Amino acid sequence: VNRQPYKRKGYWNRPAMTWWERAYLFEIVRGLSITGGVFLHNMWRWISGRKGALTTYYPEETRADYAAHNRGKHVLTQRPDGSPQCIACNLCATVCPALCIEIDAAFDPDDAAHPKSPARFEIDYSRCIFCGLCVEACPEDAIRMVKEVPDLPLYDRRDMWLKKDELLNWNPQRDVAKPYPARSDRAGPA
Amino acid sequence: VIQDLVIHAVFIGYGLGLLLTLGLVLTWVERKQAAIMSDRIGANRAYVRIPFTQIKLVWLGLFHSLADGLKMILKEDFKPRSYDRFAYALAPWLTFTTVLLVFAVIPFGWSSSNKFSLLGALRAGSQMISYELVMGLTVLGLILIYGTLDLTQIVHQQSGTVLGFLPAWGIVYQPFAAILFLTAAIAENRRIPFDLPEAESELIAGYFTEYSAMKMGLFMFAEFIEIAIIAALFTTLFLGGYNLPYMTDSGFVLPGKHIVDVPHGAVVVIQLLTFLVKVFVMCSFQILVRWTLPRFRWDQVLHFAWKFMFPLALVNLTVTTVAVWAVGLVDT
Repeated sequence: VNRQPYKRKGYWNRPAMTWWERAYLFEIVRGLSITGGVFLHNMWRWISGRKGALTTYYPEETRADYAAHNRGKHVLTQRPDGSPQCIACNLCATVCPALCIEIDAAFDPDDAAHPKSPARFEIDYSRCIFCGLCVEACPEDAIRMVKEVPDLPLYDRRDMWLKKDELLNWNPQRDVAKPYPARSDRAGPA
Repeated sequence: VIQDLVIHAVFIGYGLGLLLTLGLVLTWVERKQAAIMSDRIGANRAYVRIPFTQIKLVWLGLFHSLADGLKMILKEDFKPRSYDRFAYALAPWLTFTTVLLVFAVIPFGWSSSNKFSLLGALRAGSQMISYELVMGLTVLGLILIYGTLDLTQIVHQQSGTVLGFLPAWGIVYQPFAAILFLTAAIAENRRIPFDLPEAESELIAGYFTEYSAMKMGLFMFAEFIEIAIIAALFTTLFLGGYNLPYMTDSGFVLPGKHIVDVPHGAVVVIQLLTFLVKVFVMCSFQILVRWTLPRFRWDQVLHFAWKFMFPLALVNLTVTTVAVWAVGLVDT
């Protein structure tokens, strides 16, 4: 039995360096010129008024390259008279996995077509996960998501609730596919 | 004598002030340059708000060094239970003060014509024996050429030209010595690629692991000041100090005997600025090295010093000696 201790013959990945690499100094100079070149390039870009790094200064800057279908901030669509298209059916609040939508319904007996409307419609952006299920669930196309993101960084989570007013008005949208008659025309029998 | 003392005190005060400012600025320069080198933006959030207004001065994150200093002063000064009380409290101040004292002799040790100022500068700036040896040997070659230890004389002798167009800087006479000196100096500053004594990944922070708050800050600050010292030394010995190429005390003498007269006051200002710019470029270069090269292994560090740099420094010194001797023969 061979009791000799195992002797490693050599490393399979022993680095095979040329004399140029062995001399070390040249490769150091090459490395320094790479990093120095990046530095000078970025400095030159900065001096000439452009940015060296691709970094976006969050919250001051908004990225220009959000996808058109990015799921960002919510919009409540509205009818021509400015009332929300929402019928307070609570489907979005029900499907919401983060349970961040709160709706209080209001009842208007004079409006036969849409007797229910949201008196309060609030989204808690400290909990919203931007999954877009609310948009899919809505039978009325009353809630949409646009590519702009909400200004989330705040010091108090209680400030992260978006109220109905803002959802309706920060980026007013309406459903062009559904021409609504004027409100006086569709008033039901009193 | 009193007058001399006052003048020297003013000079030393100026040196110290310059040094502390450089150290403070370098903490910012290091962060910013490292960021720009690696396609990042770097620290840019600290600001000073002008009171009673909403005007926030960001100034490219310059105030981060202030914020860091404030943080270190306000932090708990944690002490380990077992320590030599005296040595523990003394160490950071010793490091810091000696580093400061070195620089006090650098620009104005020029006027002291004392070999101890040079040796003291070299010794106090150094920690590691082996690299100090290399450093000393490389400087010896320069001293052989210039024939003096007086830094003022050394800088003054670098004002001419060689072969009519090259500036007569130390780096032209002794290019190998310049590389060796810079390497050894960086090694003595214990920064990457030679940061084995600190080696965050293995030893946390090495010899100042147990220091917290401002004591740690003093060690860090001393390191940045050493960068400035190395830059100043290198500028003085190899880059011609305050000399611009083709510049004399009365103006520029361009190759081809074009003479441009410059008033004396402007010359002094230009020379001051030249020295500062050279020091800044050398500081920046050291930061470039620190953020580019990977770290040596411990045995590699020592092998590099004793088996590579030391023989090279000796060869360089020998060749220099023979050359100086030959030139002396030719001249006489």
